[in-house]
Amino acid sequence: MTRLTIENLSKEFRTERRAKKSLMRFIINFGRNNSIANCKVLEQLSLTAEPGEFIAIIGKNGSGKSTLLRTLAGIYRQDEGTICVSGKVVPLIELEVGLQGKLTMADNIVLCATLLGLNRQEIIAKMDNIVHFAELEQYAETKIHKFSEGMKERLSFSIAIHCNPEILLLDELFNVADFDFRMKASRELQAMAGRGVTIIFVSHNLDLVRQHADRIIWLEKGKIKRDSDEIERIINEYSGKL
Amino acid sequence: MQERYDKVKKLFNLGFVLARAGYKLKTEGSYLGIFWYLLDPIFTFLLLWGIFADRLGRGIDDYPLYLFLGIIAFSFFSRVTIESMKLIVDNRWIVRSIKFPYESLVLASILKNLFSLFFETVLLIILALLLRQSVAGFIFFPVILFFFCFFTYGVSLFLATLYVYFCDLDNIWAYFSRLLWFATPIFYQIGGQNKLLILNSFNPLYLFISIFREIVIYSRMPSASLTMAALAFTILSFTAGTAAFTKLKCRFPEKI
Repeated sequence: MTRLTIENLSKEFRTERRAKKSLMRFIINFGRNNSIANCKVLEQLSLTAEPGEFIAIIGKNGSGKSTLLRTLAGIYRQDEGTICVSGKVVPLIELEVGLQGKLTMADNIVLCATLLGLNRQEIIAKMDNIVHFAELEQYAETKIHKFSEGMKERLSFSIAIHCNPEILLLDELFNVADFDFRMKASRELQAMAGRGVTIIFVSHNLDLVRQHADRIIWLEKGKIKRDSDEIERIINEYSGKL
Repeated sequence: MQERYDKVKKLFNLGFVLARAGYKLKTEGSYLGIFWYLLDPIFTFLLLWGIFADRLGRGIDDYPLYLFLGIIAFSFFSRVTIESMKLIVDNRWIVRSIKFPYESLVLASILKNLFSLFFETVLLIILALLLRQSVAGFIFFPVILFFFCFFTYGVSLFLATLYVYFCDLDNIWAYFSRLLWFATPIFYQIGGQNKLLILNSFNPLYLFISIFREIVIYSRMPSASLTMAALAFTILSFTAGTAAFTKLKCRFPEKI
């Protein structure tokens, strides 16, 4: 059974003179068009993903990678096309998503895991595993603002993988975590893929792509330029173009 | 039906967790904790009572209770709406990274402020006992509060939606709230002033505060017209707020 099917997905953002309007200005300029242009970020994208696939999305800045992840996660609504998802989607798009610096790690785990869809019983049952995987056992009552960036990344990653994902979306994974944890996380991701979890990750780190991906999607100006399982060939072509 | 029940259950579960986190963040590092919440209504009450007890409060029965109940009801509405308005924008990193029911942020604000309202109500009961007044009317307090929360929730959803689109709404609402504070009979009564009565018949806060006072302080049933008007405002606020929020929430992550 296909985990994810995207057909003719398009997404555009309206570029406005000002990001946010003043209510008074809105009333004065009522009826006038404030937008400059519609910027098409994703254009007629179609793809499918099977259970257990490990898909890397590459492309230059502004090619639509993060927008694609956000649209898959249901955060952005597509303007055209359809997205059919079978299974629970867990996004890890921002490193410190949901983490509150002034709260303790235990409180943060409860908060983030609840936002990612776990109920109280599940969080209690998984709390030790989350802390253990992040290797932060002695910091349960420590406030997050005292954590290093690497510790926060470990914690966020550990929470995300313990939230029963069937599709895991990762943006710029392991930028700051240490080598040992990167290896451990890599093994865990491979194991999850082995259990049928579809993993889609965006990265500029081509070594990471080479190491993990069994399929690669190259985005350029919002369109799929390449979609192939010939990882080395695509990476060489992409590197040559950079 | 089951699906809708699960949605509401999830919304409340998330609301409770966010409210708990919000409360901890607010009292973090504070020695007085919950008592900070109580200082504002207590000092406002003492100040207004000291100034107006012998003037505007002369003809009002049980003026201390009348005044304190007005202050805590208005403060609850004011705190929730001002706080909720900015919640979507202030939590932009979460909103742009996770899909979750954004309504839970507003619900969390209501729950958090209900917690402080609970302690304020305890103070009100203590005040009533000190004044040797009956506290039997307090049995109905949660019933009116239930509708008041629905009304406040609707207004908060509406404001939270508008604030995503209009960045100066907080200044406008702060100014409007100040006007509302003076227009609502909190430390005075309408008496025979017809213009003020007409104006306040369109003021839902006046309606709710009057119902609170009638039942809780004076142990009387409020008039049918008062009750119906408050109920109409509750339905209007809840429907309009929910409709606006539901219609536009899919654009929030792009707009903030």
